[in-house]
This record gives sequence, structure tokens and C-alpha cells, in this order.
Amino acid sequence: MTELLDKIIIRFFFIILICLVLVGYRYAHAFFYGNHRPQTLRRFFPTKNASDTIHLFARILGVVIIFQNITVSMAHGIWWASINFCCEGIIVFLMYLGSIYIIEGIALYDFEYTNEITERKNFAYATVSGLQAIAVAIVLTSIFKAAQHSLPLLFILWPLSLVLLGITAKLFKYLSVLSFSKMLIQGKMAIALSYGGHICGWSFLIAAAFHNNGSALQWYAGHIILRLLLSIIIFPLIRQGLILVFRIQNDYNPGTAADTPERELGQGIYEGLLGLTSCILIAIITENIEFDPFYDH
Amino acid sequence: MSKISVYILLILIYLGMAKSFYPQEESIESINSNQDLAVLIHESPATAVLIDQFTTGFILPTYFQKYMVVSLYRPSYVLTVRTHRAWWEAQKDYLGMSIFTRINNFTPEVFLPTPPGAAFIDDPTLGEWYEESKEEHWRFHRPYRELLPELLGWDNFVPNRTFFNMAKLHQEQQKVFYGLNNEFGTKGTIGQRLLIHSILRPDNKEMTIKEYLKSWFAWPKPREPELPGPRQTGPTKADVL
Repeated sequence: MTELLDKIIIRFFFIILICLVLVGYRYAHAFFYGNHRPQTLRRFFPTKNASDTIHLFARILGVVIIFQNITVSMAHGIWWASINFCCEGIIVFLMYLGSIYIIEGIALYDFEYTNEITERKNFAYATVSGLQAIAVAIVLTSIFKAAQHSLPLLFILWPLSLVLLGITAKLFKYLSVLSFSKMLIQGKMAIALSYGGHICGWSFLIAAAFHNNGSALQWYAGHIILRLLLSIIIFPLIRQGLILVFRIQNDYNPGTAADTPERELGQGIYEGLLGLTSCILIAIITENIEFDPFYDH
Repeated sequence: MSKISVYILLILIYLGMAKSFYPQEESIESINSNQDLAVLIHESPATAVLIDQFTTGFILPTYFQKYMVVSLYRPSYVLTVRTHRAWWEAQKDYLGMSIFTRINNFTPEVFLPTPPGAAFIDDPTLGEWYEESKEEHWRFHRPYRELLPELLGWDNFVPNRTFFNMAKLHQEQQKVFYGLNNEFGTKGTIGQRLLIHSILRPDNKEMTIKEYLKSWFAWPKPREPELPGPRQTGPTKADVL
């Protein structure tokens, strides 16, 4: 009974610790976005601005996704476990916010938080920013796992992952018929869903690429690039396969008078979900086919 | 058209990179005949005994062979080579036999499949004939007596004069000799013993539909309960004291 009580007290202790670590996140956020008073430092009213709510909670969700993979080992006592947890938390926050800062600089460079969220209440922008934050979290989770508690490896894999995510964000305009900047300024949800599906789908593939068995760093990095190259090769085949199987007839013509907001939204949903579905199917092809032990001789 | 070109280029880049990033693929030499084997094996005297054959791949198989290169003055080693189908199929019956033998740099190399190490018999520098049960038998000199028969895969086989004469006769006639009682080769007793460890082993059969269906209806095996063991937290105070 004493042991059970001890365990539950330790769990309660970690609930408090998580909350304290999240307070750290608030200030880390203020450090990165210091040019205006960020939503993390003021009293927050969820019903006042829905765009702000989605913007904030998507980021918190991102942090939680990364936190999900942090394990607390009590082997060396509760204090070492707490110190380790806090250190990992700080590294997570800094890398997560740094990544969002860089990726937003690449994908949303001509948009500003104050203009789009506070003044214009641009829901599409908030969705794009939120889904991008979740995509960053998915990739960072994979990097933390791959680094296996090694800071040097983490600082090598982190820039690599940012480059890959940045390229993915930039490639969107070649894969979509929708105009990203124009529609995002207009606050159209079609572009938010299309871009969200694209960035989240590819973040799954980038994250999966970091799970490989390469031991030496040069082989490991090479295998990541190889996996992604393989995904790029498979992507058009899977996408075309889905279109053929479900007999999808895309009748959207951008720039014509026939384009209604409803048709645009349909196109956005279609592009986003087709991209996401294709990426998940690609992950099956690149990750879930086991050749062992056949190729191990 | 340009899209197809870019796509083909991507595939070629992928294949090129994949080849570079799998160094183990690069390190495997390719042979198409036993003449190529002679180029790969530099030792003398030496013999290459075929100890295993296997394929990898399902749609486009790649053919591999494993040789035990038995050298008298250098350490013996296992040589894995990639080969083509025709050569692989042609060697299928010669498991456990010497595929290539080099005695010295002055005598011609032997490319005919022979019982393993048959070329080493009757060499007075390596061993001697002794009489037992009114028959001459061969034994290696003491330094080789333990290791050589084991490396050649002889097991309990002891060559006699008749075996040697028959092996010599077959070699002159360029015929494959499988031993007096067909001990050698894939179908021989010694060959079958090698086959047990091979990928080609007979019990390596394909799964039947019955077995497959049975696997769907079987309960998962319960996890073994973790036994309480010593804590892995470093030395305790008692240990230090």
C-alpha cells in the first residue's frame, strides 16, 4: 500500500512539474516573439478571437506531442528525474519555438501575427500556422528519438530536419493549383486545408525517414535523403492511383468566373486530404515492408 | 514528356545513391566462372570448397555463393561472391566440393569439381600413406591433421588409395568424381550435412494455406512475467561498505 501511495504522489509531483515546465514555455515563447505582447503572457479569452485560440492551442498541442516521447526514469532518484525532465523540457521548447520561427520565416514570410490574428482575425492564417506547428512537432519528436539523448547528434539532425521541412513548404506551390499568398490574404480556408494536408503529410514522411538503422552519421544522413527521395518517386504513383481508383474528376479551373467559394473549398479539402492520404500510404510502402532476413545474408 | 524525363532521372539518382550508401553491396565480388574465382584467390596452395548457395530478391533474384577458401600457409576464410544464374544452377550439385584448386604457380589450376582437398592427397610434404586393414589410407602430417579435414568438411571420411586413384582417373578424363560411395556433392552424405546449415535446406519449406489460417486463429502467446532481479542502479551502500 505504501508503495502504491508513493507512486501516486510521484505522479502528482510530475503533474505540477509539467505545469511548471509549461510556464517556462510561456516565457520562451515571449523570447522568440518579443516584438509584440504574445498571447502566452496575457490573460487569454478563448471566445474573443477564435483565430488566436487555434494559433495558441495548436502550439501547445505541438509541445505536448513532443513531450509525449519524453520518458522519466526513476532509477537514480526523484531529483535526477526532475532535473532531467526540466532540462529536456527546456531543450524541447527552445528547439520547437526556434523551428517554428524558422519555418514561418520560410513559408509565411510576408504575413505578421499582429496583422493577421489580432487585427484581421484571419482564421485561414491561424490554421496554416497551427498545422505547421504540429508538423514541426511531428518531425522534432522523431529527431529526439533518433538522437537518443545525444546533444551533438540532436544539433546535427535539427538543421537537417528544418531544411527538409523548409523545402517541403516551398514545394507546395508546385503541387497545388491554389495561389497560396493571394488566398491566405483573403482568409480562404481552402488554402489552409490544402497546405495543412501537404505539410502534415510530408512531416510524417520526414519523421519516418529519421527512423533508420544507419550507425555512422554519414550513412545515417544518406539514408534519410534516400528515404525521402524514394517517397518523392512513389508520391505521384500513389496520388495517381488514388485518383484512378476513386474516379476523381477534378473540374476546378483557377481564375475563371465559375469559381465559387464552395468550389474553392472543395478543391482545398481535396488537395489537402489527397496529399495527406498519399503520404500515409507512402509511409506504408517505405516503412512497413519488411525485407529481413532475406536481404541480410 | 519533360515530367517523365524528370521522373526517370529521379529513379536513376535514387538507384545511384542507394548503391553508394550500401557499402556491403560494393564489397561483394562478382564471378561468372571458376576462372574469375582464380583471380579472386591469390593463395597457393589453396582450394575453394563450395559451402553454400543462396539467392536474395523475389522478383529479380540475385545469386550468391559461399566458398571456404582453404589455404595451407595462410589463414582460411569464407568468400561470398555474387554470380549469375547459369553458373549458380550449374554448381547446384557440387555443394561441399572443391570448385577450384591451385597447388602451386607452376602446375595448371584445377577447375573441375573434385572431392574437397583431393589435390592435397599424395603430396608427401602434407601427409603420408599408412596401412590399416590391408588397405592404404591417407593422413595429413600433425600440423594439418586436426584443422584441414575440418575445414575441408571431411567429417569422419578417411581417403584411401582406391579413392585417390579414382579421383585421379576422373580428373584425367575431365569427369566429376563424387567419391567411392557418392559421399560428396549436394546429394552425398557430406553434402547433405552442409545443406542442413544452408538456405537451400529441405526443411526451409514454404508456408501452407492451412498453417497460414491456423496462425489467424491462434491466441497470442502470454508475456513472460518479469522475474525480480537485482536493481541496475549502481552499487548500494551495503556494496560500498
